[in-house]
Amino acid sequence: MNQPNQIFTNPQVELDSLPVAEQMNMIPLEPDYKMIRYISSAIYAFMFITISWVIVWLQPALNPYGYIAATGITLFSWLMIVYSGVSFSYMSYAIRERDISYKSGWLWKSMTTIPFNRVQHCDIKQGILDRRFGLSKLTIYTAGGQNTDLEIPGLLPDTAEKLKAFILRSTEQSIENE
Amino acid sequence: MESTSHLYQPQRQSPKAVFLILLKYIRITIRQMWPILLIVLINPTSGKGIIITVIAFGIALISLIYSLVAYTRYYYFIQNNELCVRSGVFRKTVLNVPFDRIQSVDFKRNLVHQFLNVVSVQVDTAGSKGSELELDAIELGRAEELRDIVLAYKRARKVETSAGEGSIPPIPVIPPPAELILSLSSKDLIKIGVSENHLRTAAIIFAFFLSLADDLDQLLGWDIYGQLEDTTNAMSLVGILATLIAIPIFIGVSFSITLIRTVLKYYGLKFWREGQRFKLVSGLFTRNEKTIQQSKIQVIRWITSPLKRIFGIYQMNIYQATNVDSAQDRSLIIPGCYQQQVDHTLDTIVPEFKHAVFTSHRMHPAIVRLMVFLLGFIPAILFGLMAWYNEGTMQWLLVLVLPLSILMGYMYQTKRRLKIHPDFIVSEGGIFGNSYKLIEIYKVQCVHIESSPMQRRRGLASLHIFTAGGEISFPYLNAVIARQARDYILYRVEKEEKSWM
Repeated sequence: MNQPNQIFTNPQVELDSLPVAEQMNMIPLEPDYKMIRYISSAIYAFMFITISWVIVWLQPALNPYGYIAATGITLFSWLMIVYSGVSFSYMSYAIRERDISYKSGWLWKSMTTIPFNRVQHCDIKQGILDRRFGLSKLTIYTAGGQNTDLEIPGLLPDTAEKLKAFILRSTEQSIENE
Repeated sequence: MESTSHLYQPQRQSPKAVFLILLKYIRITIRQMWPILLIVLINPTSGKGIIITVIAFGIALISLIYSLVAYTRYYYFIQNNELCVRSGVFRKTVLNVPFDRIQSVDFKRNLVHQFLNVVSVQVDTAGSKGSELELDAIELGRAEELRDIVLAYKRARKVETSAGEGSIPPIPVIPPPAELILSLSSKDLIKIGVSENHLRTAAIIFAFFLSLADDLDQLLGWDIYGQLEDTTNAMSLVGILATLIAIPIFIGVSFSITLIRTVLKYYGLKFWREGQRFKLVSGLFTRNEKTIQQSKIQVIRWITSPLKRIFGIYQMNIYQATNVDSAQDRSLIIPGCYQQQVDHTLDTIVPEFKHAVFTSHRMHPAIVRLMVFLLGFIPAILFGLMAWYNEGTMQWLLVLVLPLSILMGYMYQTKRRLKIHPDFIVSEGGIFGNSYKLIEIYKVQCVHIESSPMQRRRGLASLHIFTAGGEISFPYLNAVIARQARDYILYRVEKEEKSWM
């Protein structure tokens, strides 16, 4: 198969000279956030496990399939708790002069980038667990809809405020230039 | 100019609005209570029937009084570059919509509107959901005046912001000359109607009859399902004959419904360009008028199905930047046009597209294996288990989903293309038909790349490109190309000085 090895064959710009998003220095999240992830996934796991075993108990007619399913759900929930901890170390963000990126995922990796001149607004949120550990979550919105909202959890409130101020300032500057 | 317009004083809608408001209430009431009304009609003399009739008349009388009061308390006017509406029967509400937040002013006329010579004005605003404003019945002249004032203000604002502060240019109220891009004749409409998706109509009719059967079951105690089961269980010659006759009738009915619906909905469709905006007018009974500012267009899509290809027609959708939460579809739909009209429309909206030379990227064949596994193999195993368990011979036919998925996966993979040009991205695809989606790179909002362990093993990734009017997603793309595309798109967006809308 004859596949082109560049996005276009006759570029107006030197494609190799473009800033490469992969080479940014990524900033990890606060270590305390790992605990928040463990706790919240443990709560969900506990809920799933309880519900499945209550159903097995109430509907004995389902057995032996009920036991198999409930055991499966229990194992899966434990795996989810482990995954939430492991994937923590793959969550990181990076800021460049004109955009912000967020990377996450251990097996399923993803990376989202939003240019500052496309930011609509940002907000900072704190959940119950976040407050307990003194952390904040920064969300950046674009006009592209819910799928494009960039959420960076596990930030110190101070860092979150600074990031927000920086993003909004950069957005304003880029709009003035237009 | 400001002083001459009546719109600056609070005023009521056209008196004809009372009639329309009343109709609206009656329609809502009937929609919610039709099963009860059905009983009354079938069995009017029963004790239940009389009580219900009395209640129905009571409700009708109350709605009449309510709509009269609602009409007299409803005022709209323009004040300080805001459109204000004062309303409320029991609690007063005042709604102010600044002109800056108004995205578009559209007119809609159904049969009653046409008869009374008024229009319903729909004001679409950017921002929080539920902030759309609808004026039920305004005289046509006044509605046009309102739209011209809003548009003139917006044009002036645009010039003002681009020219810097201080200089306020004169406001031109006269709309720019209109240029007709395409119109559909009755012959075109019939072709479009014939080639529409009849399966969808069939599904809707089927669902409607099912719910009808449910309602009748509960209301009248008719055991429709029981009777159906009896006949199907018997599987007599009569039953088979009935099915053989019913199927063509069913197909015929859904075919004619789609055809009639298409012709009525898109009757006399005309697509205009008026300076910086595009206008689409269509409909026989309900005359719809939709406008889109050229700068707000984000995504253009044109698709064709095997049926449509016989006639050589495409359906075109023009998507604009929209408030994602609002359920209303803000896209312009041209249900059918010929290749040449597609080219002409594209030429008008994105003139450089014609000369663009694209580099094509294909999807890795591994996508076929994934599709066959998820859409063919797993369902086939489930269906097979079910057929084996139920000992149903006919159910084994469902296992054919496996070869079907292989065929569809293969066709999908061969047709999918991501075409990149320094200014545009086109996503091509389709299984039985063809679809094309075009975006301008500088309008991109956000880029997202993801990869599963399976994809990484083959050096692949999924690329998602988001705009304010829709996205282009391309899974199983060469990871190097995906990253390069992302870096280039970001570079273009970040250095772009033109506003994306």
